Amino acid sequence: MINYDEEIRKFKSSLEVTAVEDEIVKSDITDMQDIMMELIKAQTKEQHG
Amino acid sequence: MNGRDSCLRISNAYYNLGLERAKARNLSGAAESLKRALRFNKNQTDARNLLGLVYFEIGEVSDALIQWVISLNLQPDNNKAEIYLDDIRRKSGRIDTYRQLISRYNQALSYAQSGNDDLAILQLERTVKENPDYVRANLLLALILMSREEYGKAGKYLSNVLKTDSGNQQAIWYMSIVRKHPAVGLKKGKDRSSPQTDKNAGRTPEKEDVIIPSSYRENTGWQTMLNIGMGILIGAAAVLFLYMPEKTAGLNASHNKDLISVESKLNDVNGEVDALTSQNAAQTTEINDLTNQLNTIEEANTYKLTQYQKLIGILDDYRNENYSHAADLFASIDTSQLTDIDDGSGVAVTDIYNSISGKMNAEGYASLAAEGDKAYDAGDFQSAISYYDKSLAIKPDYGNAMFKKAMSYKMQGDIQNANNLFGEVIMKFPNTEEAAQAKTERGY
Repeated sequence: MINYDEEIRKFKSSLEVTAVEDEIVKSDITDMQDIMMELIKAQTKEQHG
Repeated sequence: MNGRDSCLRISNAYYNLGLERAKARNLSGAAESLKRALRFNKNQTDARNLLGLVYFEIGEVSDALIQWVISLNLQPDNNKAEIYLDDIRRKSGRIDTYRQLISRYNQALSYAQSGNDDLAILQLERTVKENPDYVRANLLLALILMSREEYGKAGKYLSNVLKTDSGNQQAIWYMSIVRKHPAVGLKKGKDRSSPQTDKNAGRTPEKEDVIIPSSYRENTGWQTMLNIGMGILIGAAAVLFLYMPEKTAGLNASHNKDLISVESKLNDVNGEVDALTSQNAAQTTEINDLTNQLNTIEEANTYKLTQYQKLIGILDDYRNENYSHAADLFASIDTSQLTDIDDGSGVAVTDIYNSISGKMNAEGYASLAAEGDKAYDAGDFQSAISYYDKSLAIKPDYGNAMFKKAMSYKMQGDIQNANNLFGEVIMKFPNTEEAAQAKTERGY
């Protein structure tokens, strides 16, 4: 059976339109390729350092 | 195939999966796939634009705007996101409407979470009326109605959700609960067509029940032939539109499984790289620690050897009767480093040191002070200070060396140090010639 109180707590508010600008600034769009490049750079630096 | 190519291929596969799901209106599944596509390639513009459309469709307009703005930022030219954003901007008041709908839903959520269900229902009904595709609003409204056992009304809003997003697991779950309950709360007016004659009156309609419309007539003659023809056409269309996409989706799914396996291997390799990097860092730290320890031991050994070297130098100076240089070395020797080793040779280093220390303590300070005087007379005040320091190291209460050291500072123009030392001479050696001269120098 459904637990109403527990279920209602799971609901999240929608992002307000006025908060879009801030949210774009905070967005982390790092992808796997960026992570791989960071790893390769760090390894190269270690080998030459 | 390098890592970059792998990422692009995995990203494309997730995009294709997302597209398939979006076409099947499984928007939750589509959003999940598209987010994964972007995790592998943030520049997959189609995936980002489609994710924006999915968000827009389910009423999350702010999330849609974020995706389109980022998309346009990453690819300013030839980007559909520009069209979507322009479309919203062009229609005056549209943004304001979305803003109000979202605010109203958030307000309703706040009401519901604080127990004001009536206010929440009012707000949500208005919101859903204006945008029946707003998934969160429909779900929240359905949940509140279910809590009041108004399952019929709840089912209506859940149907709204499933029409918009057929893969919404929350709605599917709620709907399964709604179906287990009789349609309590449904308006009774629905049965008014034949309230007296309906033999099923009072019985709740089951899912499997077939409702036969009053316009139904049995087909005969040419109608049958027409129906058969239409059946064939519908069958062909079903093959074209249902079977083929399903087959294509199956092939894509198999392809995606392979790519997911590649992704898993890539993750494993990345894990190994991380582990090796950590291991390498730990070993480098260990090497540095050991090098530091070795350097410390070498420094300590060098320092110890230097003390033995000084002792040998003192003995050599003694042999050559160069007592002033012997005193110079004696003043700086660290006796704590001289230790006797019982190796059967009968040589005791401390005995050798003690044999010369008596003479050095008795006469060495005077020799060093005499060397200081020579340097002072030659105008080399820095060397003079060094000799007087060594003399004072052997005999700290040697007032004459202290006074001369003060004079050397004065000659160098370092009045501060000079005056401090004159003061010390006056304090430590009162009633001496040096104290009187120091007073004169200080102007007392």
